[in-house]
This record gives sequence, structure tokens and C-alpha cells, in this order.
Amino acid sequence: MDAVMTKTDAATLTYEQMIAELQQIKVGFENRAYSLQQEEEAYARAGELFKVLEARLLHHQEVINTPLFGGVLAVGGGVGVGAGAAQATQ
Amino acid sequence: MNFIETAIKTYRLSELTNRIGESVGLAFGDEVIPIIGEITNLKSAASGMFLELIEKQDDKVLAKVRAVIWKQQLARIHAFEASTGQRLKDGMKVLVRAAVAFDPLYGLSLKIKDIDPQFSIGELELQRLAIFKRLLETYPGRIQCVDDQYLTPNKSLARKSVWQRVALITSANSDGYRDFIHELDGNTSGICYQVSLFDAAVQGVLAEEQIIRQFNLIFQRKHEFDVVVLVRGGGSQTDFSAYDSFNVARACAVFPLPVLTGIGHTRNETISDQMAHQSFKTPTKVAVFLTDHNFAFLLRARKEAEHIQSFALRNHSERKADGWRTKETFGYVLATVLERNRKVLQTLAQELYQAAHRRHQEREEVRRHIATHIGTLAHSGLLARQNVLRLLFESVRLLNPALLLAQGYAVLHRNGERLTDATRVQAGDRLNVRVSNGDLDVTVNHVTLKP
Repeated sequence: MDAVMTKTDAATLTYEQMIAELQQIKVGFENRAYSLQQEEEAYARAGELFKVLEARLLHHQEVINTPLFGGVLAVGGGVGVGAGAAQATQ
Repeated sequence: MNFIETAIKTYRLSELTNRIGESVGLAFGDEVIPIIGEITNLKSAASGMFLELIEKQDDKVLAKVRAVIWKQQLARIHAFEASTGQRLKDGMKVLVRAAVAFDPLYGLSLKIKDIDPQFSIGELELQRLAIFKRLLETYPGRIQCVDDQYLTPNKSLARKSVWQRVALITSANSDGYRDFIHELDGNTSGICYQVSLFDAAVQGVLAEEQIIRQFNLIFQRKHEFDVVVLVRGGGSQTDFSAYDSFNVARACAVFPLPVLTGIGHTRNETISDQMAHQSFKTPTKVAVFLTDHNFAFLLRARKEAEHIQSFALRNHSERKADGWRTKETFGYVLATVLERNRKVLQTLAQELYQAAHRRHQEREEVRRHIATHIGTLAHSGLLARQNVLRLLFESVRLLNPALLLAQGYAVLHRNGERLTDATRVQAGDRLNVRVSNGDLDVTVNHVTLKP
């Protein structure tokens, strides 16, 4: 299965790519399409994807400099304002 | 009298202004009359608001009169602004109720007592309709009105799964800004946001220009954001004109990122609201929507993860069961083979045993038979032999001449020779006849031979 064989670094994936890969893995499990070894790999991959996804959604912090009129904020989830380079992943 | 004084009747300026004032007084008195005009040169002062009302036709000014709204009437003006959602401003067409006054120093003026909100609402609506029409004409086919709903390119944009990087256009000092940030910051779902503030006036004459300028800045960095949020709200319910302007509405309609509005107009939607991807009543509601949208994605991902876990467990259980089944099957097969072989061996052994046993039995039988019957046989043989002997003996006994003699038989001798042939006897011969208890000496009288 592609989801198992192709292991793109989860951190570089967009949310859409991550959810699509999770769905693909789910379908593989649902249809019993994996061998025992593939299942182990797919299960680990799903865990990695979900971990990255959740971390980015709940704990990710990104600061964007707005050159004109701009204030810079990072809010939500208890994360305060911080410094760092913007790294767009989607 | 000089030349002029003698040639024509002249007035001093004060006489003229007094006469005009008298005429105006006679014509209007203290009457408050309705007057339609367009506001221009509006200025606020401590004593009230000063403005001019003009009448235009094809951009040509036909009439212009100064007007004043004394501070005693400002409460009525606030009511007007609340009703219309618009502040008094230049270019606004109004129906005022005013007294006509004439001052020798300041000339003709209107003392505005009230402004009719219904007239202005109608006028504003006409202006709105004109802007809608202009939008439709500017973007034919891209902006459409279907069943009183406006379809715009911005509304058609596909939604990202997560809207986390927010370009926020509002005033940093506005309640709308604080409400929006407060709601995002306190979201209980734990969703994290990156908000970039693009500061712009949200009302007043600079609002439209600054909002458009910030839209342009965001456009240059559009890849850095997921969504644009345009909020106002939290303050006065007046002066939404920037959001009803053609330029801001156009930006909302065709901007390449989804635009969410929370302009805070409690009475109706602005044109920008109707052009944007989605509109909300307040900035807080925009923030709630963002969190709900993102949290829905998180739930979706969690659900997928749970399904994966569930299916993985199912598959694992099935594999385990298969393993047991395999083991059991193998064991069963093995046991069956063994059992079968055992039975074969057992059968063979049994057969061998039975064969041997049978053989043994047969031999034993023979042996027993022999053992059992040997005496009988021997006895029978003996008996048979005894019988034979007995018969022989009997025969012998029966052949005993004495027994025959005793039964009446006799033995003939002639001349010492036993005589058994009658043909050898002749009459007259002398024969010895032996009987059981003696010998007789007899003479033959007659010989008769048997036929």
C-alpha cells in the first residue's frame, strides 16, 4: 500500500495531506488490505501523523511579521506571543 | 443729495438685509418646513454641527444654504444615526425639518430641528442598490444574484481543513479587535492560532481607504494566510459606509483567500457581508466559527485515528483467532493422522493378534480337540478293534465246530477224512458222524444230491 511504502516526513505535510493519508490507512485496515508487517508499519505511521497533526493544531506557534500597520500575535491554546520564523506548511 | 441719491432710490445694506429678513419672516415665520438637500462641509463644534445643504443636478450645484444643528437637537441626530446606521456626513442626502432664518450678518440659514431617518434609509438603499448593480456590471458572470443571494468568487473558494493563520483587518483599538482576540485566546478546544493584525480604521472617512490598503498588503503575502477576517463591531452602531462602499465590497467579493466578516451591524448586512465568504454578526462569532471549524477537523482526525485503532484491533484479534484455528486445525489434523495411524496400527496389531490368536486358537482347538478326542479316538479304535476282535472272536467262536455241533450240526468223516462232498459218498459207505457229545458210526443208505 502506498500509505505504508511512501513515508513522507509528516511535518512537511499539509493538514489535507495528513487527513487523506489517515483515511487511506483506515481504508487499508478496514479492507484487511495489509499484511501483518504492513499493518504494523501503517499503524505506526498513523500514530505519527496524528501526533504531528494534533501538535500543530494545538501547540503550534507561528509568528508573522506584518510590515505595515501590523501587530504580530500568536494566540490560542494557551500559547503566548513568541519569536520565530514563519514556516508555512499548508 | 448727490447724483446717485437723486437719480435712483438706494438702500443701505442693512435696510436690504432687514427687508429680506422681514420677507423671510413673513414667508416662513417660525414654521418648520421639510427640506431635501445633500450635506456638504459638515463640521462639528461645541455648540452644534454646522453644514451646508446643497441641491445638485448632474453634478452642478443648483442651490446652497447654510444650516446649523444646535446641540439641543443633537439627541435627535443620534436617534437618526442609530436608525439609519449612518453618521451624518458629506454627500448624504437628507430630509430635514428646519426653520428658515435670515441674519443680516450671516445671511440665509436653516435651523435644523430634525432629520427624517426613513428618507435617508431609502436613499441609502438606493445607493446600496447602485453599488450592487455596479458590482454585477464590473464582474459579469463572476458576481451573480440568485434568489436575492449574491454568488461571488470568494464564496466559491474551497475551504481549507484548518483556518489557523489569520489576517485580521480591524482597528487595534476597537472593541471588535479585543472581542475577537479574547475569544480565540480563550477557546476551550485548545486550538492555536497565528493572527497577523492589519490595522485599519473601521469607521470615518479614512476607513475605506485603509481597509483597501490592508487588503492589498495581505494579497501580496496571501500564501502566508488561510483566511482574512474583517471585523468592526463592539462600538457605535453607526457609520458602516466603508463596508457598503464599492471598493471594500469588491475586495471581499474577489479576494483569493476566504474573507470572514464580523462587522457588527445589528440591523442588516452590509454589502461587504454579502460579498464575503461568510458573514457573522459580531467579531466574537467569527472567532467561535473559526474554532468550531478547526475543532471539527481535529475531531475528524481523531475519528480516523480511532477507526484505525479499532480496525487494527479487529484485525489483530482475527489474526490471533486464525492462529489458534491454525494451531487447532494442525493439531486436529495431526491428531487425526496419528489417530488414524494408531487405529491402523491397532487394527493391524489386532488383526495380527486375532490372526495369531485365531491360529493359536485353531491350534489350540486342534490341540484340545486332539487332546480331547485322542482318548475317544483311541478308545473308539480300541472299541472298533475290540469289536473287530469280538466279531472275529465271535466269528471264530461261531466257527467253533463244537458250537455248531451243539446247534445240531455234525461233522462227517470217512476213513478219517472229513467229508463235505455228497458226490463222493455212496450208499453203503460207512461214515463217522461226530456230534457235540459223541461219534456215531453210520452206514449210508441212500445218497441224494441237491439240484
